[in-house]
Amino acid sequence: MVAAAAVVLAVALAACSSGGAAPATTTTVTIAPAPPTTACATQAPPVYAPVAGIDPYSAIGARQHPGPAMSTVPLPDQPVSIDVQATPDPDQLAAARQPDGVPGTLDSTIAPQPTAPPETVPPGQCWQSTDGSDGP
Amino acid sequence: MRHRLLSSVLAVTVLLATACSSGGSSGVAVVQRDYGSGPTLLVLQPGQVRHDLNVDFQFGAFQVTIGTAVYDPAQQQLIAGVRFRNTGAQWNFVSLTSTLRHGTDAWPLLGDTADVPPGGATEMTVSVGPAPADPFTDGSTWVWGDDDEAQTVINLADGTVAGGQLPVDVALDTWGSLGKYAVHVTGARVITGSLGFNVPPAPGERVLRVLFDVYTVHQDPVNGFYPIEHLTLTRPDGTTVEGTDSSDGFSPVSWTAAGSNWIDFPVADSVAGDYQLQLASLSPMAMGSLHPELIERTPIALSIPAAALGATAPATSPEGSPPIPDLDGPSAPTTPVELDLDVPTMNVPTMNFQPRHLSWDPTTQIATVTGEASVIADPAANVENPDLDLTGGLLDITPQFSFTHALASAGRFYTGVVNGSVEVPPGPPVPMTIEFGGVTALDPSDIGLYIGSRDAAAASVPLTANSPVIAYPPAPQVNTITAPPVTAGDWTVQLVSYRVGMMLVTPPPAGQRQLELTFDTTVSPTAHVKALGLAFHPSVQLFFANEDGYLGQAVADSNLLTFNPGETHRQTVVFNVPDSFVPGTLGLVLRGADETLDVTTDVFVETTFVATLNTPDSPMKEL
Repeated sequence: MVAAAAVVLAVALAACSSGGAAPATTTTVTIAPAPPTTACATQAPPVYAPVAGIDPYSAIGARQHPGPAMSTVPLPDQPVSIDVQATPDPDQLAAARQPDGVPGTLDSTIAPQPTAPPETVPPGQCWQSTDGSDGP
Repeated sequence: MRHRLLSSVLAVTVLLATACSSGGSSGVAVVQRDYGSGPTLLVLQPGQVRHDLNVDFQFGAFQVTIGTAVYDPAQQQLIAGVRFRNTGAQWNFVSLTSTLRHGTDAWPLLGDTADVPPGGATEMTVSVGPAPADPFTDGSTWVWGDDDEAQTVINLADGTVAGGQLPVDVALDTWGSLGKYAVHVTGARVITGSLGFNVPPAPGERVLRVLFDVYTVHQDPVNGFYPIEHLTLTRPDGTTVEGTDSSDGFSPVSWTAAGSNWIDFPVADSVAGDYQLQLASLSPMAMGSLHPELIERTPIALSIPAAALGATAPATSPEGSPPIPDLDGPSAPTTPVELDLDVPTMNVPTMNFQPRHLSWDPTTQIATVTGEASVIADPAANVENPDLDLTGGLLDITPQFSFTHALASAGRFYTGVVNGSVEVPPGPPVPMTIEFGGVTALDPSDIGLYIGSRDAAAASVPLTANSPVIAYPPAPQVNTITAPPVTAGDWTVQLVSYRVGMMLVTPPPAGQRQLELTFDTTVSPTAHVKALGLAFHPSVQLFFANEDGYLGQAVADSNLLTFNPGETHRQTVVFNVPDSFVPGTLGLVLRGADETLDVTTDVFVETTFVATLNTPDSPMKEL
């Protein structure tokens, strides 16, 4: 059930849909009224591919890089808690790829989440991105 | 190929001693297997000539052993004893696509077929003719496979075999990383045939099965990792091919590692050479199909040595004595068989079956096994799970005893069907009758029973003393867990008990069972209730702790539950574990957030802890 919900949510993030959810990783996002008809169809389809040169494992945080040099991590005698940093999603980084295939920069692609609540998108209108990214 | 819509099972092989992420996975099913039990006495009639061929070869999913052949000049027949061992991970039918050839003449092989479970072996008497002269003396060949397939050719004069090489394992240890995935290739197996499709390879080809673990740095709940979609193979001649069959795909969350994956590729039968396994940044299906030109790939070098060519070896003792033919044919109907059974309980997916009685009517050639079926229940667990509430609701379905059945006797396999209702409502055991037709002969001392899902290992049990069938797997028993209460974020988990067996409708891959953990989950009284509520989702919040610090993801749970602050609920989670799993000390990780539900989560608390799975012999065995 939850997986399905996640799929729906992620698809909503990936596709331009009226009254949809906020994009997850785009840079500066503004909300503008969409043209009255077929605004969504004019937007570029979402592209999911990792951006060349960005290694999501470089920000690996609490875990070792998977590879031949991996070592055994002993189990603790008592429960041990750590804060695990989620790495940037390489697929969503691809949302910053320009139409000509030029990748965005890491700084621009992992900017903070947009603060505008998704509920502010009027029904029948769509997200529009100012940086040429694929949008939600 | 496993279709993604049908497969959501994450094959996780995690055990303290054999963590999937440390190269411990084989990716090749290790299944229980019997050794057949065909005729043991060969008495020749005047004029008959015995030839001990004793050859082993691969034919589709089967390892074929031809033992003794007898030429009968009076009948102009060649009669042979043949053993077929199913080396695939699913039930397969024996194929007799085989001909005796002399010059331009060809005679088809005659015999029965059989539906054989993974690891099972059936022994058959096959015949071919008319052969006016002894095929062992006139230059005849015995050819297995159609002309549009890679064939195995046995030269009867000298017993040499061309083609049909037995599988050869190749040790590999290479890595590749791209996007959210890293792939660790742990080995390969060169196979003369497709185990999944039970067919020989195309002429001039073999199958290269690549075994690998997958590490995921960031969750992929939408597309998932599907070997067929994410991996291709560039062969030594520079051509790139897609996989023809693979293990199931899965939807990993962040920081997980999944072992026991495999993918099959067609390769030239010269086999040896330098290959590149190409890891794609994303699946070319679904979203990736929109801009396939943007899909990136990284090569993972695979060097296959000449030794992987393999050699066809003569039959040897580990597979039991070479089979001999039954020259008398099926014995005439004898006396009926009526046996009360005192045998172990069989554990099939979600159910137990207790055989009670076997009868055989030689006149109708019908054998009947009666017993009781029951849904595996754990009253102590008292798990709250609306989706598994079987007592009401439009979508509720009464569990079905719908499996594949085989009765094995004297090396023969007979297929059965349930006679009557297959519904098994939760509660007391219900009577179940399985009928097996065409049972021409039954050795009362040698009877075994197989029951299972077609795409998985079968439960099996010897019904009488001389059966070579192995009792597998043990029926699940509830045992306690000793573990501290563990907190991560708003959630505190107290493990309670566990069971090992075939716990889910979707069985694990052959060679694995399922570990179910039962626990109490409590949410903090001060927890902030988010827009979607306070929910704990066991399969993405409770993990195995692998040796290398990565997480082993569960395959199922008792479902996501929504909590009010301060509440406690009982839940379960199920992991696939290898058959070699032994209850003991287990490393686990509790994650404070469900990233599949809260996709904006960028930091989550993880608490690593140790639990002890007690056994009946443990000091703390009381529930």
